[in-house]
Amino acid sequence: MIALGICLALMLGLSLMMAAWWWIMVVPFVYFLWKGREVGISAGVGAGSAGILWLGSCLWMWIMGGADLIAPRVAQAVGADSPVFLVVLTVALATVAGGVAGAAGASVRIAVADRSS
Amino acid sequence: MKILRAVLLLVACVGVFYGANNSFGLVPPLGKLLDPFAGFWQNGRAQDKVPEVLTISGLQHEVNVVWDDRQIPHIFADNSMDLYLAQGYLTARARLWQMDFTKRVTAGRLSELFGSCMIDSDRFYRRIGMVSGAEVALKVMMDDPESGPAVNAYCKGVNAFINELDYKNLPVEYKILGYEPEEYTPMDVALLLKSFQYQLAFHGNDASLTRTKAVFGPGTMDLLYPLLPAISEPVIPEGETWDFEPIEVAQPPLPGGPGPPPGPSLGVRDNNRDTGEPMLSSPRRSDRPMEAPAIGSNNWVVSGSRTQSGVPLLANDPHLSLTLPSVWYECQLSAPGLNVYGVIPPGAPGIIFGFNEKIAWGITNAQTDVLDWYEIKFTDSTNSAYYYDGQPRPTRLRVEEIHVKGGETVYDSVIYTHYGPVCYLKGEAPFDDDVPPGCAMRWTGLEPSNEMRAILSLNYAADYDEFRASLSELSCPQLNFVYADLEGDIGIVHNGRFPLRWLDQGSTIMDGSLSGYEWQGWIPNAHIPDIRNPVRGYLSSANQHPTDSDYPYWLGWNWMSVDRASRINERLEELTAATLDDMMDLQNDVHNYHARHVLPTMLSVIDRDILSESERVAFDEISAWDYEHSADAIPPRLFTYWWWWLNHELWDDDMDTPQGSLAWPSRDVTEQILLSAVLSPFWDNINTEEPESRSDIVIEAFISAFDQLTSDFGPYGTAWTVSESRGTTIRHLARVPGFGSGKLATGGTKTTVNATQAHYGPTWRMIVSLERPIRAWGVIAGGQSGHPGSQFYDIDLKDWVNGSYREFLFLQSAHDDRDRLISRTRLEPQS
Repeated sequence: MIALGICLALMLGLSLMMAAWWWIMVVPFVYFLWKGREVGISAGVGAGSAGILWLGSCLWMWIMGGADLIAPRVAQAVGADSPVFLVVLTVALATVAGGVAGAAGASVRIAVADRSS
Repeated sequence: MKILRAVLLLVACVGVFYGANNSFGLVPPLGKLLDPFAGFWQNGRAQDKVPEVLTISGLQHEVNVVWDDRQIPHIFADNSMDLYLAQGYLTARARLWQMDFTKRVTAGRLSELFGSCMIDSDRFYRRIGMVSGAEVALKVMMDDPESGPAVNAYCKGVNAFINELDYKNLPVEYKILGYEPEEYTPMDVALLLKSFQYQLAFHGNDASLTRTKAVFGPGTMDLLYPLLPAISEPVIPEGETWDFEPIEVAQPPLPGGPGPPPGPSLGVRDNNRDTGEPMLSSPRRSDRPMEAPAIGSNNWVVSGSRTQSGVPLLANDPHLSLTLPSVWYECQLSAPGLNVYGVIPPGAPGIIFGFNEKIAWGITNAQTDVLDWYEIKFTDSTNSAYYYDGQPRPTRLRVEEIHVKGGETVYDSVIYTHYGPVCYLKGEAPFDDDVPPGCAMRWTGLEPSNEMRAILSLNYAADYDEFRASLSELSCPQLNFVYADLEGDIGIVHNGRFPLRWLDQGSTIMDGSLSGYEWQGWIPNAHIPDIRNPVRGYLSSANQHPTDSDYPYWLGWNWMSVDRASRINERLEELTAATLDDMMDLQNDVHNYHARHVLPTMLSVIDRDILSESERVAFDEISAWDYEHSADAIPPRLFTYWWWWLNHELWDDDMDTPQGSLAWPSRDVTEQILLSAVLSPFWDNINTEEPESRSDIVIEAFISAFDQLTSDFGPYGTAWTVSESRGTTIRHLARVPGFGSGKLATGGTKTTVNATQAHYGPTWRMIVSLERPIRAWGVIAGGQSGHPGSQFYDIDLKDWVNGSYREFLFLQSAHDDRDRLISRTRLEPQS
């Protein structure tokens, strides 16, 4: 839970400072390169933190940022009937990206540690 | 094992990063697009908020902007350069992507965005000289002491906005289509004006008429494609005398006119249908198949002697392709000596039509034939020279470089003659069927001119003389300008630069090897058709022929039919004390004048008893139709289909020839044959053994129309209403699904005053009352914002469909306190 909270806070802070989508990959990769113990857990935490961040953020934009008009239009542009599809797509991408990055960071750490021991 | 796992996961990680960070074909980079911190989620209503203070580089002094409840900016500046800079900045804020995309279309640069599928389109725009023409116009525009600085200031404003942008703030279309804006330059303004000229003045069917002339004999040509209008309802009312001595025009160099140029592709066939009937006079026009879209416009002005208020009323609604973002950008521009309100296509400074503190003006397309084609005889296969009066004359080669997304750059060599470009060589398939291969183009749109100067000086005009003086600079597109002022004067001008030609010159392809076929100069500006304060007290135009046959110069024949003009004049004649409501009603009028003219005859030849039971129901309903082309009515759709099938049955046997499919004769000709030529041999279908009569064709057409409607929309019922079976869908400029409107329940058709069609129609409606101070009302087909996530993107659409209006807030100063003003912004110079 702590790892998830740290990743989430880092991703949020960095995204607010400089908007770049790839923070959801950089943060879990670097964090688990430093702290990773198990690949599975690292993947879960990476996926969870990225997914939660992007889910919360797009809901925030929907409610507070007035994305209620643009989301249905973009949904139609990508061939979907409902903007809910976009929320799912957004979260899915974040989950995959964050999960793969977390797993990769941890696996590199484990491989390097195993080799040096 | 652990190393292998780490390597595989690293590869997967890099793969996910690469996949989400890059576009593939038309799929945008999904990571960027979906990122809630920078992607499309940021393109919501928040974009509508305008700060109270904005710092803009290039401004000399502070500029004040007042925003009304439709987000129309009312801009107040201390000098005109600051004014145009602010207009550029604010227009870019609302419409940057639209400006950029329009420019790329005209410049033939869509392949850069969409790949090889757009090469033919790009090649077409370049080959018809959009870029080379814009380069010519750019030089004239920028060398001028009025327009040059104004355009520079405008571009500075646009670029000030572009420089503020990062990915997060980009208009959403950039994110979806996966590209970024580039610096806005005066060349882009020139391209925008070329786009406007192309839309309105690049028309004509010389190629089709040449084919037709090669197929039919002269008698049939005169019958089906006569020169003069059947129903005379010209823009300049009949009987106007011309108080000038016309310039003498040289006649064709060969006896009998130019005729088709020799060549194996043209051939000659006369179908022996010369009837000897008296010539049906009608403009040479070709109708397209059912539902073919038509651009056009209405404008009119009523003198104070015929209005309830005693002051002139002026109305205008330009009909174009309906798009979102809206075609027009609306604003008020105010600086010392200038206070003007109206619209302009986003991307250029000034106001193209609207009103200032003293005058009002509106436009319709003049439809004049200003595009001619010359068949070129090259001296050899290298195409490096062509014959001109027996001597070889060198061509000039221009290489167009078309960059293609995901593909190799295409180099396209375009041959230029002294007439203009040879758009397609013989053997090449043209992108547009109206462009004949092997021919050079001469078009007023490629002549040096400075439309920007005309627009800017028009904004300052204070009376009719200044108005006319401003228009003298506006060469192309040729437009009917309607005028009214506070002094009570009204007028109309068929404006533009018109080539001096003999009667009928240029209606077919001409021989480019003889100097005798050249344009003979220009009709002097003092000789162009205009009228001021007519006795009848009103004036109008609806893209019909501009003058009666007494006008001494040839202007062409490609006019629209007079249905809208006739209906407008009919109503204006009835209105002896016209009110604002009358003007609004007339702009929304869906009375089908065409149907009123022909339907009684069509109904009279049908024997009801031969129809099936369901056909009889439809027949009875259309028999009782009041000719209102309303959204909820069924008869208009049956009539539309019936008329199309009537043309199909009447003409296709004659017009489908070995030389290709020829254009149907104009609607006026068909009407005349239907109403008067009962025994015309054209009623017979030459492909059948039994002779057909008028009633056979009319009945056959009715049954075919009924069957097609049943096939398309099911059994007779509400699915056949205008709104259900057609309606109006306003598409996004780049056709991005979801970014257009839904289906709107509209009535009207291209022959009604409210010429709303499936994708075309009135892009803006304006009515101006020349009281003191001037007041005006209107509605735009969409909204002020170009951002699909904005509440102002399509905020006016409901009113537009319902025929409702809002008053334009014409402020006298930045400190005016009026209802519906919602916020203010101060633009400050960057220190």
